[in-house]
Amino acid sequence: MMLLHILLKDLRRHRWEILLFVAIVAAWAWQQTHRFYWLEVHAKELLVIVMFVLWFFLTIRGVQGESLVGDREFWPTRPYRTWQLFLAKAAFLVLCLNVPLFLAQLYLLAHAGIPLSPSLLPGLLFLQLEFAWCCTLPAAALAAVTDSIVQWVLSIVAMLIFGLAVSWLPWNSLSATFAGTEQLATWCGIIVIGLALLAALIWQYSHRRSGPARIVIAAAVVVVPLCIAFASTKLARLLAYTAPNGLPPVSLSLAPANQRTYTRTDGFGTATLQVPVYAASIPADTLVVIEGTRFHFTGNDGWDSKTAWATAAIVLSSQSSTAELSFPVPKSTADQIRRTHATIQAEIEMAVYHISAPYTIDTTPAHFKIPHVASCTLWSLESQIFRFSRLDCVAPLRMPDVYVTRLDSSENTCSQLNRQPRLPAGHWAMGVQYGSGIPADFDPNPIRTFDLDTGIGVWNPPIYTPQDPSTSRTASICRGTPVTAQYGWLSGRVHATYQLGPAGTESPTHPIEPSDDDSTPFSPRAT
Amino acid sequence: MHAIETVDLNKRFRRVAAVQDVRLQVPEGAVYALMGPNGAGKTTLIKLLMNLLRPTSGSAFLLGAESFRLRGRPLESIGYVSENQKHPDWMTVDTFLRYWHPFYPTWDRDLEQQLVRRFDLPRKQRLKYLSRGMKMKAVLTSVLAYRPKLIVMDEPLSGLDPLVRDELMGGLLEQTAETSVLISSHDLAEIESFSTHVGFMDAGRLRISEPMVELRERFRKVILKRLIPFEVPENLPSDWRQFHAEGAVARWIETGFAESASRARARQIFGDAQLYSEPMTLREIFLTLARPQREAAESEAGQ
Repeated sequence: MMLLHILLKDLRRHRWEILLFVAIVAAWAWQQTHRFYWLEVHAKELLVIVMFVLWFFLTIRGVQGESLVGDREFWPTRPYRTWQLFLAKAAFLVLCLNVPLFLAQLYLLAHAGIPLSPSLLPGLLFLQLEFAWCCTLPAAALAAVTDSIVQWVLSIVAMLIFGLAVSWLPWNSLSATFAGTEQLATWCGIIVIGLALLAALIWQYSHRRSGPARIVIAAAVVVVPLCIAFASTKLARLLAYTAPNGLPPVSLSLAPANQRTYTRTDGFGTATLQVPVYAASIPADTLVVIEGTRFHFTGNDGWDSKTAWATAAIVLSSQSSTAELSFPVPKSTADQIRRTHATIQAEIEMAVYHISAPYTIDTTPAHFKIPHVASCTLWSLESQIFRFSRLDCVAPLRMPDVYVTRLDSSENTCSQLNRQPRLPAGHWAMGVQYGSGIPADFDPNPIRTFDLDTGIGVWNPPIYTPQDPSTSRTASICRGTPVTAQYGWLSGRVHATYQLGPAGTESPTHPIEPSDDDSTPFSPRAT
Repeated sequence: MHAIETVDLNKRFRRVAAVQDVRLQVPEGAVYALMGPNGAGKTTLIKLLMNLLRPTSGSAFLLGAESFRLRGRPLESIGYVSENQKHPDWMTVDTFLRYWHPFYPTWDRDLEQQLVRRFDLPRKQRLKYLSRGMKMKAVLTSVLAYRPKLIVMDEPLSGLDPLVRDELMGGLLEQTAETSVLISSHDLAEIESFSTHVGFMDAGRLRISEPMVELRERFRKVILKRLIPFEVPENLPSDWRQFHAEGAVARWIETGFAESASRARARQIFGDAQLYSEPMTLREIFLTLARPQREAAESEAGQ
């Protein structure tokens, strides 16, 4: 009862501010669907900025309506029940901020032609939780330990100055981070900081002691750079990439010993070595993405050397089983590798995705659906000298963790530009796109848009243009081009060590051909 | 049971001791006037009682509830009125009173209407547009309407004109026959008329705390007359303040006056003489107590 009474008081008090916020949310939703030219050109992000400024403003006003700082407030000497006050404020913020945004999101989904099915509800609610956790909670916690908007803004300025100072730290000297460690650190940060802010907020409501609450909030701010640094630590790698149960999901090997070569490209003080590797034993429903690598060389005279961890993005599947491991080393190390016929041991951090069976998308109609993923529209304009095609797809709330598209050169329907010869058969092109891995991407607009072409790149093996044999022809989707697609979800991240054997002979170029003999001369050893 | 009781209450702000070892007892039904110069620690003490500040040590009890637990239900029977309190100024008088109504099970609508009429409160006016006096009346109405058992008031009369003071105190006294009141004020003449107990704070300490009757009995202006001039002895009793002798007449203020004992002591010091005593106003008592402290502080600052 008291909860409702306080809530109604706040709604009445802030009615004009709430109305303004609702109007801005409505205008933003309208702009998302109608794309006003003037706004698109001059102030594309204006409405979303105003929306979030008002979001913070309402949060501060709501919390500071019964200010928790100072000894002159009217309410601590009145019989307020702490929890009722806390819940009334929470209800006020949800009602005034999340509900209008939620309704706008329903409108955007409906406008994009995405049916509002109950299966969308958990994702939409998760999206509300994201905004409550990442926007409302920090603003409310800060508002609970400040007694005016000016003080709140000054605290934000102080945090920005802290952020600026932190950005000057020598972050480059830290070890490389990978998608897995970054994701782990991000989640740790979001959870730890969020819980700290929530604790400070609840503490402040139950005790009204700003000192300890301010210390907790300051500590939460300090956690941010600590999380960034954590992503580079060995502990983060160990937690993010675990040892596989049994054999690793992929077995890696070099070419047979008599054909083994690698490429060396010299730069200033360093040389980049590119070692071709072959992947085997990847199940058809699995996609492996190498995210980080480190190499250990041992020469035949006992010399040894280890590279630093390096970020990678190499996609391996049952249909794409060759890759190049590339890493920079000092020139002297490269010389030693050549001189001592060094053997290579590779430590690999990889993400393993479970992917759906491939299915073919018919791109003949202007609009078509990709089951379980998105609805797409093909924009295509072709002539002898000009070709424009774009496959705009929209998906609700998120992309799958991974989305793979594959084209076959024999089925390509694109007209040939500049009288280029028709594409020969036997070539393929693959594009991989990644989702955020959470139930709903952190974006007020629940519509995810992406281009199906993204990442497809060139044909494999390369098809060179007759005019310039050094230029590979790019693959693209045109009306009617069949696209083989697979979507998948992350099933785990794995650390594995591979004894690859002798590097082979150094070569200025490296002929990497798909080998019939994909058998693994060296068995992988999981660590 | 006492309406208010503190046990060795202390509050320090870093190196400054704002309240030191205060032992205060306000009996139920008493109207306790808390006096003291500016900076004596009265407001800090009241904020400690109302759980607006946390004590450094010691404890305080209001209607049996420990002050640092004072929130929620116990506050349904305690009222607080302060000159320097922030109020929801955006509310009209009507909204303000309607807002507080559901918080108090004992809220009396008829009494509320009665007080609004008595104080001539403009119902539709927002608090921020009210004069200081009117705002205090609105706040007092919101406190008296639920018939609290204890009202704590911190300088409620400060800066108000005499008419408003009179109305405010009239309204308060009419409704508080069985209510305990702790009031800090500089308007000594006003509170003298209705206070039953008095406390005097100085430099964070509660120097005096006793019933008004006893205080007025104890503090007396004394006049001593002899037939021939006399010499002032070097060591005068410590409870004689502001001693002044001229010819055969001496005057002083005695802070521990007791008719026969005081007379006997004066005779012992000055020989045969006539002794007259006069009661003092609260203001005079306050000045007697406060002046030496002020002078001591000033001389300390001068050094």
